[in-house]
Amino acid sequence: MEIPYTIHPRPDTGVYNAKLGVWLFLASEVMLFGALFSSYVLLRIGSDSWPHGYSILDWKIATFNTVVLISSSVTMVMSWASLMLKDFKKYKLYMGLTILCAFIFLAVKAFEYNTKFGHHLYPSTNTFLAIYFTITGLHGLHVIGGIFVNSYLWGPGSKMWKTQPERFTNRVEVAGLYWHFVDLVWIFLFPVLYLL
Amino acid sequence: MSLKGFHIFFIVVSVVLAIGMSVWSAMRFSDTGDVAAAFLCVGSIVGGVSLVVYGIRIRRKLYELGYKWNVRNT
Repeated sequence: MEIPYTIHPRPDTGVYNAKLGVWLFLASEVMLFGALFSSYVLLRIGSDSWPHGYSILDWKIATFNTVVLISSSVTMVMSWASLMLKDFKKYKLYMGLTILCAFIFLAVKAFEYNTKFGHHLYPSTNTFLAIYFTITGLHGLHVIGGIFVNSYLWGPGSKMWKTQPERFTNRVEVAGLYWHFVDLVWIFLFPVLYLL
Repeated sequence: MSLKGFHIFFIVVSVVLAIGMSVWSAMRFSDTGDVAAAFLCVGSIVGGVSLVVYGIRIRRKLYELGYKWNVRNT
């Protein structure tokens, strides 16, 4: 039996099922990160003294990571566009670059964490570092999740291109929506934690 | 919303971030004289302008691509 609405939009929702599913998932993610952002704001306004992020954290490294993530969003959309143009080789290239950017982001983040631990700065040190490690750690887990999904679509999952190209293109679009969300969270995290 | 719409939204937010970063780094440079902040200010302006140019071009290309895709699949 064929699964319905994997390629064409469902008449009542106007989108194919995977897209509806990922948007529902992203709505729950907005609530998760929204709650953490709200916690940050409440902790900050309720505190007598709150350190500026740039006095504790390395904003130069974080700026580099921001550029890496924005670039990965561009390569992600390029990989999807390549499939729409039926250019599978370019898809592999752009998706590979997206995965590479994700690994670079994580490597830089690991270096940043390591430096903090080297200076005896832990989540237990103060409230700022507690919320910093909580939010960036959760974001890092989302990046790891994205690496798994994108690597599957780059490797074994790409076999679907030969049998069901439209469905595979839709899968890449859905993965791209998730990846853009993860990058968007960082776009909000970066100024709030590092610059303000 | 499709990936193309979300991507355009993402680029718009990135441009806003670039503007904010350029303002922040200019203020930091005037307060502390930090040379890295001056570089960030210039980099943010260049990055922001590049993102605007990219956003306009990719929007046009993605909508052309969507039209071709719809024609092919209907």
